[in-house]
Amino acid sequence: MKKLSHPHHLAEWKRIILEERPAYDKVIAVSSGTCGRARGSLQIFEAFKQEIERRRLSLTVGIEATGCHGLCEMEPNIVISPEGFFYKKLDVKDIPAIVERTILKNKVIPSLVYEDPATGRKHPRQNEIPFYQKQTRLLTENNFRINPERIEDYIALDGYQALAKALFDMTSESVIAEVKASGLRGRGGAGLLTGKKWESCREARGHPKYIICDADEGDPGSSMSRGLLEANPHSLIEGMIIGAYAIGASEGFMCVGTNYPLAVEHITLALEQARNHGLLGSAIFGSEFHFDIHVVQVAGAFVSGDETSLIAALEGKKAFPRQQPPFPAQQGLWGKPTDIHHVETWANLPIILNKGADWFTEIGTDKSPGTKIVTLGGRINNTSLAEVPLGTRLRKIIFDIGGGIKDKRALKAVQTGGPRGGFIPAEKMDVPLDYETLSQSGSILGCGGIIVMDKDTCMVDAARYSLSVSAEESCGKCAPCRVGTRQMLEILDRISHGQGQASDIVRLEDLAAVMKAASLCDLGQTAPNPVLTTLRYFKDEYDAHIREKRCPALVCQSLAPARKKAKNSRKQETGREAI
Amino acid sequence: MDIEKILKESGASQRDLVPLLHKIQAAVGHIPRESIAAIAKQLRLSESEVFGVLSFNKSFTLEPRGKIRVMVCRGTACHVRGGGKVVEEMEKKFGTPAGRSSAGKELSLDETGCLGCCAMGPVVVVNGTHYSQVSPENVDSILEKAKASD
Amino acid sequence: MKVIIDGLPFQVADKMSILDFARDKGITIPSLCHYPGLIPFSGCRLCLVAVKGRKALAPACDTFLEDGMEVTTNTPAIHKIRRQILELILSEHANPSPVSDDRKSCLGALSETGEANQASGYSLSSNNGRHEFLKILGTLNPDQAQFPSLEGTFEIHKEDPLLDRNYNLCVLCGRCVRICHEVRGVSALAFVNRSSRAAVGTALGRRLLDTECQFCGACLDVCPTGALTEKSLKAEVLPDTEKNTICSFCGQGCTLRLALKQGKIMGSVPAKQGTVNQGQACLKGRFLVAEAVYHRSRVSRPLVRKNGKLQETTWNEALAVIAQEFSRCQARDIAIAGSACDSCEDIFALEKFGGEGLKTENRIGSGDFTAQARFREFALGQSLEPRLNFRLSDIGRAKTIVLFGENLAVSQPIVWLEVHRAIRSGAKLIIVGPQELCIRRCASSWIKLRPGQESELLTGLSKILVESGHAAEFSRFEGFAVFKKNLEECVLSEAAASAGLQEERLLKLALSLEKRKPAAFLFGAEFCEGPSGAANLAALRNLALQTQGLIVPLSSESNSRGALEISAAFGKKNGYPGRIVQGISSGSFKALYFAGSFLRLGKKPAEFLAIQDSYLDGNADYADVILPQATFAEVEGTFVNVEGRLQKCERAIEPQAEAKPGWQIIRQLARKMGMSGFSFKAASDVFQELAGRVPAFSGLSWDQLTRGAFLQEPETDFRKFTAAETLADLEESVDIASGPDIYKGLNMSRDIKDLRLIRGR
Repeated sequence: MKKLSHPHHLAEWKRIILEERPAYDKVIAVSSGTCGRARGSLQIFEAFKQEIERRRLSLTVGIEATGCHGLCEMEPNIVISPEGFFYKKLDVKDIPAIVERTILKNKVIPSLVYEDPATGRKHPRQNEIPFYQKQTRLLTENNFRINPERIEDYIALDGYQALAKALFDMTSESVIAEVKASGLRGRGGAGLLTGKKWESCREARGHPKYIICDADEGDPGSSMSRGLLEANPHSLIEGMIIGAYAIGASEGFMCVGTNYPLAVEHITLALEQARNHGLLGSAIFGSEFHFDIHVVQVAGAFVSGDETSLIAALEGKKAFPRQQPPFPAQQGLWGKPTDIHHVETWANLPIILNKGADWFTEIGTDKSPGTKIVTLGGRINNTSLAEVPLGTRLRKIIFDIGGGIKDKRALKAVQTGGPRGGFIPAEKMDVPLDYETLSQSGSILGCGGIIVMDKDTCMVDAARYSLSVSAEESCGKCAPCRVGTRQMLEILDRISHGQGQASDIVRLEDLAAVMKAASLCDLGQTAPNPVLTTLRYFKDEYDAHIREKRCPALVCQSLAPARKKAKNSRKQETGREAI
Repeated sequence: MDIEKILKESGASQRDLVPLLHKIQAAVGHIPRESIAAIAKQLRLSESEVFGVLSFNKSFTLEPRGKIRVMVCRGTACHVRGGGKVVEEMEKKFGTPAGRSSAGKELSLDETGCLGCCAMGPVVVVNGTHYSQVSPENVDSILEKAKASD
Repeated sequence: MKVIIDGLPFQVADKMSILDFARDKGITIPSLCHYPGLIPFSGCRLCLVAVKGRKALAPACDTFLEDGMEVTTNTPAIHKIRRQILELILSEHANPSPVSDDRKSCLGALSETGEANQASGYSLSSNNGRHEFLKILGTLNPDQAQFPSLEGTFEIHKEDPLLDRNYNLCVLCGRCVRICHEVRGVSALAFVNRSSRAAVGTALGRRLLDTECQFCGACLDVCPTGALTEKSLKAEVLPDTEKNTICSFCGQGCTLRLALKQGKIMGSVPAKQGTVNQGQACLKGRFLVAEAVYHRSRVSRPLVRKNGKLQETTWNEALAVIAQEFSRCQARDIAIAGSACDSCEDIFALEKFGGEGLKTENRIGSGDFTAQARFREFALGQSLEPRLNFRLSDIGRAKTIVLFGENLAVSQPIVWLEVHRAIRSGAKLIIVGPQELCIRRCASSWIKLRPGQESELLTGLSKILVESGHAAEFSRFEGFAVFKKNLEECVLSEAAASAGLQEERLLKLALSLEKRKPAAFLFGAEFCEGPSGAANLAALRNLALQTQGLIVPLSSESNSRGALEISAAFGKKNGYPGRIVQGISSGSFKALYFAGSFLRLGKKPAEFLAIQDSYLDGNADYADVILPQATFAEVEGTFVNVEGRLQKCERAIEPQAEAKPGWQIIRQLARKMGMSGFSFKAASDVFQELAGRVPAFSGLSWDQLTRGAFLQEPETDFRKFTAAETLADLEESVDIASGPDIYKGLNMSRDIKDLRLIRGR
């Protein structure tokens, strides 16, 4: 394996890759992220391989296992290039027909085509499916085209050119200036200007400097990090190296969890490949810049999202957050200047450098340029990973992209940002997806989880569940959060069991106030959001539980009459497993 | 891989603690109580410090796990889709509450945080294999498959 | 810089947190987790204050004043938040239950027990009702019933000696964890578990005895609620006064604050403003003072052997017997053995009595066998002025510390704190010795070496430094040429092998020493003993010259240095101390006087033996007369600690029964024998004479010793390398009973049950 020692080598390598690519007539991309595999995508892949071999089509038909295509609801799914046919919810028995009719004869199989739940129309091509059409897939558009275990696929799509540009055509300062001009804000939830953070870290005194990628997705209902790590790991690596160059860091840490073994596999392999090609490690691209990245498992080790807690966990200490200032940019890992960003933030960097800050600011809003990957879940038709410009209204995300509510039900509420996000009622779906706007509505953007609820969701129970997650996540250092979450949970438990009292509402508000004002870190400060928003927008449900001992949504067991089994309309599939 | 070997190959400072614990847990299935002293010695920490980090971290357990490790996702989406009922059913079938020691037993049951496959929920992972849309009704068939493939 | 706090303008000189500054100015800001000397934790959230221009409240303990800052420390809103935080904390504990913290009572009950303390005069709550939590409860007046109690109760930990842990009273302020970790360097306690199950504890809930806990009591002293309490003080009477004294159990010289009730010692705590110890101590000074002073083996009346049995008698008779015996003997048949646990006044009086009164040259003391004594002997033999003074803070500033053999955490606890402080600032500790010590954890390396082989290692290091060209500055020193030549004989691979190291490791060690200057070398008596003692000291001294190293010989008795200086002032004795010891053991003398008993006797060593001690130990079996001596808590006197710092010990209680200070006993004895020059009326008189005669004490005045003063030492320290050729063998080592747990005739680790248990681990 030859190490790249000059940017020209990169262009040359890309040329060779494209030249040496087999001249397939058709390529089948099988969506094979963890979600796909849970539904049997690897068996689909195998079945295709066998069928292609059986029909002696190996020289003209390519088959790839890619990362997640985003439309998880339709797993297992495939995209057939170059036409872009999209087939959904495949079963092994569908394979022969697909090869026979679509691969060989370009004929579409209607039963496998995506059908829009709202209009009933069928869309055989991926780029015509409203789910995809209405998105702006800057970070995720290449998911169909990349085998995450092959660096060559990334190179073929102009991978690492942004890095070459940064190293050879720009100074560290001009890289920072460009990122500042782009207005990129941290995608982990805090929304601080990335460029400013970099500048602050660069100017800080201390050596060596460190870069950290927070890839430990703790919040339930969020899988955007998993999506990126599994599908396009090199985009993160490139972003991190650019950041290291800008700041002057020599060591980076990719902090992963234990819940995504496939993601860890892919990123570890990608790092090795990058090193082997001289894109990571000492003398990157033959320059004098040295930087390497270590993968560290930190799962369950720190308080989600808090930078100082993550730093303590990396240091092997008890992961209590500490007061800021001083900020990690000045005093972080082992007391040295450290720059921490979420996976999605890093993934934006190559695009910004390649296409320019001006181009980037055209997307999104003035204050928040760019896109955000969101995880759509709950009672939505298209459970998925979608990418939209910041500022997109929730209505569009849920109905146009998400396909609306399952079973044509009415929307009741939406929880954004994970278990510490607030619930936004159906009337407020014009709220744009953005940092400030969601905060003003009592919620948070968080890392982009969006859970959709219909009338079968009891808001009291939903608030209770969210709070139980926060109570578990709480590190226990400060009393407002440690005890506050517990006391709030106790009240909500009682209410959902028909033992609520009139004074409970005031108690909840008091607790929320103390937690917001006095908690040490973001977790305690935002944990009350689910409760506060449900109190604000769904007070009637609390009243019903407390005064009438009744659960309007028929969820709270002690209060609801027994539901007939027939009412459960979900399909009872035998659990399908992957190999 | 036995613990002594893992310790020998480990670094010797505080930052190596969590990776070391992960390796031990991956090899043995849990963190044996007797190993805490050796870990402390290797990393030059006090046993209390090691235990402090170990007990804080939700990934680690001191309780032996069965040969077949069953994990039920308790993330929001899976919860909304009935994950709680799946856990209840499994607890009934195993006769042991989730999270408890299953020393000597074949199966152990744990709850886990969100696995990121929300469209597939409720999700159950058995020794690394994911099962989707699990319900109390198909718990039995999943367990049979798991025992067979072992 | 200028700041405004609560509307008042202030000038701020140094970088200070809002909390520290406010407290300094008398402005009250409540806090549970803050403690001077500990890194701010900002966990309890009680100290939140409003800072103009900031949206969120800021924790005063961890927010530093800046020019122009405007702070409001209390508003109705802030007060409400503080109260609510307390209410939340209270709800973590079982609901109030009746008084007595032997039950699983809760925090709320503390306020009741606090009042009950006052009323009854008994300590019903821990730490004599001293805990700060009471004050905070009083200021903020939380409603204990505001939130339901959600947690269960903890079992109270009583399985350890000396202290109990009742986590039903714990508020998770973390002070105990942090002081054990940041200051004491032991980390026996940690925060365990998470969220509402978060607690303070040990690994797997073990006893403290099963951790590295040294039972220093620091955690007790910082606990604001009394969750950690002293066993012996529960349901005990409350003290009526407190008096300071200087602890004499080892050579650190900690200031202890003794709690007294009607003239009796109840307990002790380290004095926060203690010159040497600054609020820290060890388990002996913290927990065992009363037990030692009132120990069952304490002798408090004169004893004379009649018909084979020791019987109580009067001072008159006892002294008369001794006077008679001594008067009968020739000077050369008498030997005197003094103790380095005694005050300077006691030691001086004894030396004067022996040297000028009895005119015998057979005078030794336990201070003759210490590392300090050996180092002085070595230095004088090289025509060097021995410099023995050092400050603890010098060790704190060292960048490399090399420790030979001593388990500092046990034998030199305050020195250990300073070493640990250095380590936390980035210094490297290298331990050289045969056994793995508990402090090995904090060391960057441990070189396993049998005593006696240190000189090869040290010489090897010197050679590497010279050869790697770091010799330039030192080449100007006297004796360098010979030193360099002698190094040629050293073979690096052999030097490394003798220490069980690869040569490369030896190289790394040397360069590390070179890079991380200044260095500090700490050693005890073992380092200087035996045939290799002189070689060790020589090699060490040379290496210290090359690395700007501080040489710190350590000794474990409370006045070793004082004994050394006073003894030196009285001139050369008959042969080396070791020979005198041999003479005693082999029965060469006719009459002996022991002050303290550091010599292990297997049989009666002479026709006549008189012992002056506070305790009856094994040697009492051979004694003809025993004179009761007062302990350190019962005397006014001066002691010189391991730094060379002279401190005055105030008398805290009256001597027990007929016990007397050593100098008074000698005065009476001398007078009985008709000697002149022993007319001291008070300890200050003895000191005055002492200061006039002992060069190290010149210029020191009894009245000006409030904060202690360093002994005088000559300014110059020759930059001169030690040559092997001129080395004289040091004294042969002698087996004596001395060590950190031995106070005169009391072997604390043998005779005090709790210490026996702790040391026996």
